[in-house]
Amino acid sequence: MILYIPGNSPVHKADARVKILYLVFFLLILFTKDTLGVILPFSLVTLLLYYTSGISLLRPVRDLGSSWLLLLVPILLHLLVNPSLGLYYGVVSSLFLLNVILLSLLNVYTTEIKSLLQALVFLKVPSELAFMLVISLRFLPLMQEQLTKIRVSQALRGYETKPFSLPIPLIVPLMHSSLKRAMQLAISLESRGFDSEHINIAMELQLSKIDYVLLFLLPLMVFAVF
Amino acid sequence: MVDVINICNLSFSYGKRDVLKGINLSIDRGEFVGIAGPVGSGKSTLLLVMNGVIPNMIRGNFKGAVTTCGMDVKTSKVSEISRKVGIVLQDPNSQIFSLRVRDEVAFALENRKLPKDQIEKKVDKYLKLFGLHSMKDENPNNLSEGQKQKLAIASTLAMEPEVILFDEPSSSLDSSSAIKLYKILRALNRKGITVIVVEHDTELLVENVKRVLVLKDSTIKLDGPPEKILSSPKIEKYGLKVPCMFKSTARSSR
Ligand SMILES: Nc1ncnc2c1ncn2[C@@H]1O[C@H](COP(=O)(O)OP(=O)(O)OP(=O)(O)O)[C@@H](O)[C@H]1O
Ligand SMILES: [Mg+2]
Repeated sequence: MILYIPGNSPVHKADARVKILYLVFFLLILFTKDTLGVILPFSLVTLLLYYTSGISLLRPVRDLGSSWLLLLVPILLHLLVNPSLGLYYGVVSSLFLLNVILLSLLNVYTTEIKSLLQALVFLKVPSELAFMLVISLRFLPLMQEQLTKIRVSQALRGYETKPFSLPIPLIVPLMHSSLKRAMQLAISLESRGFDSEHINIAMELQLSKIDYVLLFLLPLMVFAVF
Repeated sequence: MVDVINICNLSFSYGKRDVLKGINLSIDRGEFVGIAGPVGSGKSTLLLVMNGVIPNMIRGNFKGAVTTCGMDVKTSKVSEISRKVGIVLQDPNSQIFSLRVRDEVAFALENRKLPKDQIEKKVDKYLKLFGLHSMKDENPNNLSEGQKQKLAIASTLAMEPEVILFDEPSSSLDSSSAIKLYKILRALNRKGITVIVVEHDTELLVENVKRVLVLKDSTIKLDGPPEKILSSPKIEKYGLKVPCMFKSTARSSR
């Protein structure tokens, strides 16, 4: 499930704010330098980060399941538009997407929801927007959970899902029950004193040695790349 | 004012149909109240009104006046009311948010900005109280339903509120855990904390609470001490069972 995975790696330990800054930096590189010459070595960075974090690449593979097929879309589109060079551009765009997805997921896997929330607020994202972002993150695994439950309950009553058919009977109850649970979650948070309009950012965020090193390196890297 | 909860002429509906209708209710500081009634009679809704989730977070058609600990629920924020009032929701799965058992208990305390060492002490205390201490680093998703229910209760008790609302806290507990839970609630009540609990089990009600409300068709039908309310066979038409102790006295008096 797309959730924080507790761990002790440097990637886990780095401060949530520093990680968000780096994520933005990496995404900037990916968005501005979309050539194979940049993206290939960059993919190595992504792999290295996963390796350091101790999180297996199987994790995102499993979490997104068949959604990974979406990566083929840019290749097909490019091939349609431009049969001669389409494959090249297609592969570049897919690799680009792949890196964006993997890095964003890594950030979620290695940052506690609470720290993420506090970091966003610290970086001047409006409280309510940050809250919505974080709730929707928490919403993903809830949806996965609900999906399994509904599947089981429908199967128990003899409903068969056919491969490659749209699972309409699933979607409606899924949306309904997930929304209901998200509402309950918000109720549970507020009735324990969480004020989504004034998120307090005092405690957890404390810069450590790794963070200072990373913060020191960041401007240098920005300078080197751009 | 000595009443912690005062409801005056309350009507509420989520959509068209009234879920609560003409409710008048006053609960004093230090009471131990049980709320019973058939499925869908509005018990959970009534609790959500008491801590301001209705009408602040769930909108609907709200008429009447409700004050909780001197705060008007219409004009106070839920997070503000939560400083005085804690709630344990009916479904622990939708209440539990954190990815580690101990974080769940610490959550409300962090929102109150308590110092770290104090938070840790309270977390340990309340996890021990419910026998969850050995699981404090686990993911709550991996707990059993009953354990989740205990965790949800521990997280609310750790807030040490003046008023605690429970929505069917014993629904996934085995009978000895349920009895233990009520023992804890009685001890809290003895310290002056107001406890309000939705409970179907009339045996538990008669042994623990000091006042019973029976809800049906959106209104409060019966209100009084448990030995009076629950001993009459007419509660069977509200879907409740007459507790054993009254059945035997009824037979012996015959
Ligand atoms: N969020 C909601 N939106 C619309 N209708 C609701 C909502 N929550 C409850 N209701 C309706 O309000 C009525 C009362 O619900 P409530 O949950 O208060 O009953 P209850 O007495 O707690 O029942 P139970 O014993 O099953 O928990 C029900 O008919 C229900 O369908
Ligand atoms: Mg209910």
